[in-house]
Amino acid sequence: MELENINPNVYKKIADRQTILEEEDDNVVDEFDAREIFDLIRGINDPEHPLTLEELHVVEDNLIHVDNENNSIKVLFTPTIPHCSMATLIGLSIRVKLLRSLPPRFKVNVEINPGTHASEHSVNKQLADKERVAAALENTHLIKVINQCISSREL
Amino acid sequence: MDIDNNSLIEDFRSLNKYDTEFSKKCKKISHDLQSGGLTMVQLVEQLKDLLISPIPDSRELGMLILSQVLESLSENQLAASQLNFICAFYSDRLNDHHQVIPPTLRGVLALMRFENVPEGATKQILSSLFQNVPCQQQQQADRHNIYKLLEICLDRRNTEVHEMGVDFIYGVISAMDGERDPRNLLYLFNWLPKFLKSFTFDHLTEEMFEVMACYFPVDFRAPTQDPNSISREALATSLSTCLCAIPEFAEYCFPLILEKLSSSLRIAKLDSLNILAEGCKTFEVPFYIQHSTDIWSQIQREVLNSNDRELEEIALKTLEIVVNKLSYSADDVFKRILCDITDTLKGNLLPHMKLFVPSCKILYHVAKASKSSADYVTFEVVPMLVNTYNITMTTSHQVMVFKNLISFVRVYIDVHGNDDVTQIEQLNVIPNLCLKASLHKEDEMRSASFQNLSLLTKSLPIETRKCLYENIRVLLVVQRSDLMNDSFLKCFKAMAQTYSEEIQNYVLKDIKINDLESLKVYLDSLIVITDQEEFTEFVLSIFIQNSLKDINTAQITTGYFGKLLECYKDNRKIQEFLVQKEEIINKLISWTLNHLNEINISKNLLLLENISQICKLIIGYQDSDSQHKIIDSELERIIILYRNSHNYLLLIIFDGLLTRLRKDVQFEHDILDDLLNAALNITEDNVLQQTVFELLANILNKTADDTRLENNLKNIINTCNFALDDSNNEHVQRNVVNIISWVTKAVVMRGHKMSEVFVNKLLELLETKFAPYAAKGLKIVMNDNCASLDSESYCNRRLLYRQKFFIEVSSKLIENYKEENSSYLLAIGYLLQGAPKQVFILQFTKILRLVILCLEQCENAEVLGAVLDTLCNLIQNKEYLIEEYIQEFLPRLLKLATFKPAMQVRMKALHCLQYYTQGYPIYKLIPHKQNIIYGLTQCLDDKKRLVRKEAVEARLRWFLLDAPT
Repeated sequence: MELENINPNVYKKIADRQTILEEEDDNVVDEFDAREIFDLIRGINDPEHPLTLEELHVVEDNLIHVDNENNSIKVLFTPTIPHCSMATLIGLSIRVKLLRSLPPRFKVNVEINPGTHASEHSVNKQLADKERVAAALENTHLIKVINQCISSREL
Repeated sequence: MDIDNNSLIEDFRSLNKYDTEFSKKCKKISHDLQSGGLTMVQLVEQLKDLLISPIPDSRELGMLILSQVLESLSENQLAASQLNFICAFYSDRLNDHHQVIPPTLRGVLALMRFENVPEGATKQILSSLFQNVPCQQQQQADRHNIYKLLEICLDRRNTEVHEMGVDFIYGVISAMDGERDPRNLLYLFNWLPKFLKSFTFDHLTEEMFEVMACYFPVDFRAPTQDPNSISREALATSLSTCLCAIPEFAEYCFPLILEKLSSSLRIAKLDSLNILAEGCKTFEVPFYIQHSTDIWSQIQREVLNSNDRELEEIALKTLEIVVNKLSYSADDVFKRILCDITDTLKGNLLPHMKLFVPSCKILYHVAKASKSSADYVTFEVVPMLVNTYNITMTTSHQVMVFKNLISFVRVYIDVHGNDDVTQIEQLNVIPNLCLKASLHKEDEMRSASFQNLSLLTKSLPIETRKCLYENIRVLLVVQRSDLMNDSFLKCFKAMAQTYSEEIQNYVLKDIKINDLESLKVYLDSLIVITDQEEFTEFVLSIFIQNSLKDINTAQITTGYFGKLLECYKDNRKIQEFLVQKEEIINKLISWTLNHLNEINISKNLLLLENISQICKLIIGYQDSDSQHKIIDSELERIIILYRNSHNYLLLIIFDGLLTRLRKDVQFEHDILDDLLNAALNITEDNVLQQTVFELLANILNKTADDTRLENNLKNIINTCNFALDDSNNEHVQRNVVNIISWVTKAVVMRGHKMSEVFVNKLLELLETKFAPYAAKGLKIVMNDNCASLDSESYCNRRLLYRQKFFIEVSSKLIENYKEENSSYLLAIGYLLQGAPKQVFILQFTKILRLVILCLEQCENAEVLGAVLDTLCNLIQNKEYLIEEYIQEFLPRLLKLATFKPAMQVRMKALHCLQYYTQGYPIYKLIPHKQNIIYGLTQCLDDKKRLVRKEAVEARLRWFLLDAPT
């Protein structure tokens, strides 16, 4: 298969989240925050390159919004090039990863960062459609690729 | 005679030829021949019926007997005339029925070993072999024999083989042509080089090359079950030596490897690179020059585009060897090639180029290859890199450029063995550049600059050094960031090694210490140069001086003093200086005793601990005599003072003096009662308490006099019993439990007969209200990391005492377990915390019930944590038992993943669940998958972030358990 984006820009990874004392205190409640969601999806592999979404700046810390009160999370992602055909796949990977990693009380929206993709609207619509997502996950070939993208390193 | 003949034949006929009896019989015959009881003629006579029989089966049998007999004869047994006859016979037999060939080959092989083989016989046999036996139609073992025969002829009948000339070469080529068995091939490849080197091939060169080259690259996968089987690497290396054996092969070899190098097969590339490097030993330079452009472009492609670390490394190594080979060519030719390489890569050396690092790697290896290449490349590249360095904006990139830059300078110095770079126009800016970088505002850059300066110490001119000294002098007394500390100290050390006098005069002489903070940093830095002779006394006297100043200075200094001694444990010189010349222990103790009133237990405990640690580190490395001397002079005055004042602080000094005494250093004073009293009554401080317990255990463990020890132990147990019953003070009673635990440890370690009394006492206490402390006592006994009771303190340690204790105690716990008493579960938990893995597995089925009950009912987070740690370790190591009891553990782990009181427990349980997904048979896990994934949903909303992280990891792993990937 021919690569669409042969030579993507690779950015530096940000440092791991430092554990603060409060987090080790049993009595303090840690709320979900944008960084936590970012940590969940930063390690997802790009379908094309042996790089993570973080390194390609597809997902960024400041494009994630968490509303704890109303149980909603919104993730915006930026495809590497405006006509990237992998955008839906990347969005789907993010969705599946979050679906499996977040408590069911949250409503998760995954959308393309406005103005960064040619067919932004239709991709957003696909990703928001629960039934289409569910149907996509029944497709063995597709779920295989997604599992590869979101599988973590060895312990 | 005839009857004899037949009986011999009959004997053999009744035996299977693979039977050991068969070969034994043959050995017997050859023994008879050797002792003279039988002659060769007689033997042949006896075998006549078989040897000339019209039935191939019989002839085979006859030949087999004869060959086996020949094999076991010694090498000088047969005379030339006999051999002449036998050789003729055998070469005739090579033309026989195919069934007769295998034993004949064995015989021929045996014949060639004999010393007296007549002239012409080899030729005769080989011609007959080449003519009549098509090698590739034989079986593997027989082919192997043929190759062996060829090798033995080459070794022993060299002249005759050479007389055969082309016939022999042709024979070898046709024999091995089409060989497929790896064993035979490996054998062939191993001896072919000497064959190749001893013949001239002329028109057969290409043919010879092709018959080996067809195996290149070796594509062979050894069966995994057989550990002794032939590896691909062995075949590939031996083949590569064959392909480069003679210079004439170059003509055919280059096209082959260049073609294979461009293939996409990884092993083809690896093998080609290896041959390219190997060929440098034999092939002539012109061939390399002729193909240099191709080689270069292939290697460049490998390094610049490769994701494969190993391949890249080999490619670079090969490039270095090839460039070294090319350096033997004419100067202008070599220069042209180097120019070609550098020109291609130059463009990548600009700031922010993606191929910067690999390009630097290539150039680095080219420079390393020879003197002239080092000259050329460094002179070309260094000015460019200096430029790049200056125009790079981001520090992290600049650091990378800087590091690469210095590596080139280093190569130049190494290759030439000349440190002075100031005379070289292209390099003379480097020292100043480093110096300037060391004043950069960002630590990352400064760290790199000190790292680089330490590599270039010998190349720094005096002016640069003077500036650097200024810099070092300032940095020696200010707090440095972690990032910079190591490289600064490395640079300081390197400079001190090269210019000790200058460091002394320009740096150390003028150091100004203004406050304790700078003293800390200064002392810490001095540690790195202590082992250098010029500085040892200087540094140590600074430490000693400051240790004996006011209390605050002393507290800091003694801390670093301990660190220093820890670093140079086995440095005799430092130890000697401190003990003999300075009498450091005496000084420290006198100082302590003088200042005792000023020392505040809550504030200055650390000071005493430091002093005690210094004493330990010095005393521990003295021999018995010297230890005796120290104790004789110091101990008494402290004891007297202690008995008068009952100042508990002195106990710490006792600890320092006594803990590391050798076993044979016994002291007169009986201080056990003092210690026991202190141990019972100290209430306030944890560290102090701990010290006393440990010292008590240490002394009991090392007491040599058995009756004295027994009395002491009896005394202790009586005192303890009395205190438990009598005292109403809970503190004292708690101390008693601790004393019992520590004494138990001391006696269990040395395997004393009283240990049972103490173990039973400890277990008894599980039934009382002190159960939690007694349970902890088990952990104390099992814990192996207690510095005051290890071999460095010369303690008695019986082999496997922990294992024995574990088995003993766990059996008793199972026996005594009562459902209403939860302290047994606690006890098992603490016991497991220190248990060696092997012994836990040994007892696994027995204590499983208690472990599971513990997981279910225990509320103590520490104990649960300990049990989960142990389990996690077992799960990680994929113990069979864990697999066996999978359904017992999984639901309980899942329950503990929501254990409210402690996040540590939740996290550890989740860890265990994570490890379960690796290395266990999927069919055993699948039935639990849905439950676990469902159960973990709850953990995803845990209030602690760290727990959520583990829960996510665990849940994802269980999701992917059987997922198609």
